[in-house]
Amino acid sequence: MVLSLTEKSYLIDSLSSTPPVRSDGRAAYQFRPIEISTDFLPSSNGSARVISSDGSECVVSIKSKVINYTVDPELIVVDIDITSHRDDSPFVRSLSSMFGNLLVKTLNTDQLYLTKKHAFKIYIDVLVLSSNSYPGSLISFSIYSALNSTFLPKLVSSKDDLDVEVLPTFHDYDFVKLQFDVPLVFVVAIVGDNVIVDPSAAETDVASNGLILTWHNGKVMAPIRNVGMNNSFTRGFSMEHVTKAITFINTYAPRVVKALSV
Amino acid sequence: MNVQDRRRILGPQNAKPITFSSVRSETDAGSSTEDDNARLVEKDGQGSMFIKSGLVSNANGSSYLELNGNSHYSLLVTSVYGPRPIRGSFTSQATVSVQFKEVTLERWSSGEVMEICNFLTNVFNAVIRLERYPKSGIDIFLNLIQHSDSKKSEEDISLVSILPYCINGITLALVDAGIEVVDMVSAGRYNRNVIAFGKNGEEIVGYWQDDNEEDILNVVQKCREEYFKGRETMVNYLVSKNSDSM
Repeated sequence: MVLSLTEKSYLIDSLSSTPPVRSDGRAAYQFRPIEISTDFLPSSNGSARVISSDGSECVVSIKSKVINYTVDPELIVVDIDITSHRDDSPFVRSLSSMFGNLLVKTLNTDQLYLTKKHAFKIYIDVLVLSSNSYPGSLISFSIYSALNSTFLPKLVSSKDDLDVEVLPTFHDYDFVKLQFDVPLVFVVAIVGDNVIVDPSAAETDVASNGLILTWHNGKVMAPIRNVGMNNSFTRGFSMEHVTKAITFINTYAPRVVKALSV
Repeated sequence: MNVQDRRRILGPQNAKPITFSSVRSETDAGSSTEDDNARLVEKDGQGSMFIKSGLVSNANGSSYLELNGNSHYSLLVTSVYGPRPIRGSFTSQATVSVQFKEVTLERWSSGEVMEICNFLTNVFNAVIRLERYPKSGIDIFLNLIQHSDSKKSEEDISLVSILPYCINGITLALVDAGIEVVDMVSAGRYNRNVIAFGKNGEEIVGYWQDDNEEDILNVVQKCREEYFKGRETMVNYLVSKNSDSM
């Protein structure tokens, strides 16, 4: 959406007022409605499709492969693809690096180990089909829903294959649900003295800065970092903004988790 | 018999062999000016920072930092090219790009490096007065020549630990290039958390938290102290450099 300078200035003024007046009538802590469908890709172990009310859409597919982890110790791989952005653009690369590091650090991979040699390697492929605003939360919600609907084949062969050279064999139709405590990533925008969650495209255009916060194990955790939302209005912010954003997420993230778990 | 040499391409008739001027006098002069221009600006328990700017002659501005801490030692060269005209459509303000390269080794994955570059671009988007340079691009190149830490193994050295140096280096290079900035920004680090400040520590321009901290305000305080120290060092250097040239 291309806004004129006058429209942007109007938007900044209304978003900076107390309480902020958002163009879609939301409160500062309110998210846009999203529509989630899970487990719709028959060839994946888990999948999710999240559509935001502004037409942003994200598809995540979780695939698994049995590998010898003594050779390849990396068990979780994240790949993010965003339409209209080159794969090697700083934006896409830094998003996938951030999500990759976050998931590798927070997910407990113990359940992926099958035998003393073999383990499941999980490929998380994210495809953002269209995004108008910063896609951080959208990607995170999709990964969350996909990982929570992932089923892996059940192992029927022996768990000890150190002495005997045997490949793991799986049950024909029994699956085990993956039990991950998946972190959530929230994006908040800073306009004036206010902090608003889940900024829309127009709000992204005028935000003076943005913050990415992670929610895991019932509290806000690292990584927390600021991210420029646009090139023209980027300004510094104060510590009050950060503490305000953390309080916001601490208060409202449990509700988001609840909504996503239904 | 006058036989012309046809096997070689001969130079002109009046060619003279090149002679080099005495190297000895050059180095002597060099070392004496070095003492004048470069100084060890900060020296306390925390370590020292050696600053020199304008070393890269073909860049619009550059800075060279030598950081000597308790256990680590880093060399960082920053060069700024611009504001230079960009091709394509009209832009009402400058676009900033930051590229980081480790010259000697490649320890970090390109994704991580890209994340840092993206972060630094965001920081300096807020710091440089972009609207003063329409239709132009400002390209910042960071070259890390050395970074070693005697206390940590090669794998444990995180990219975040050099992030404050990158911010200091870019600020100095921007000043050297004469590009308008809102304020002298500097950053402080506490564990793996880096916060960049401006406006006398009132304003945060970059926030990078990689460690889980119970008390965030304490982290901010620690980083702010380092910010004041770094800024003072840079300002002292710039003041003494300018008083020399006058």
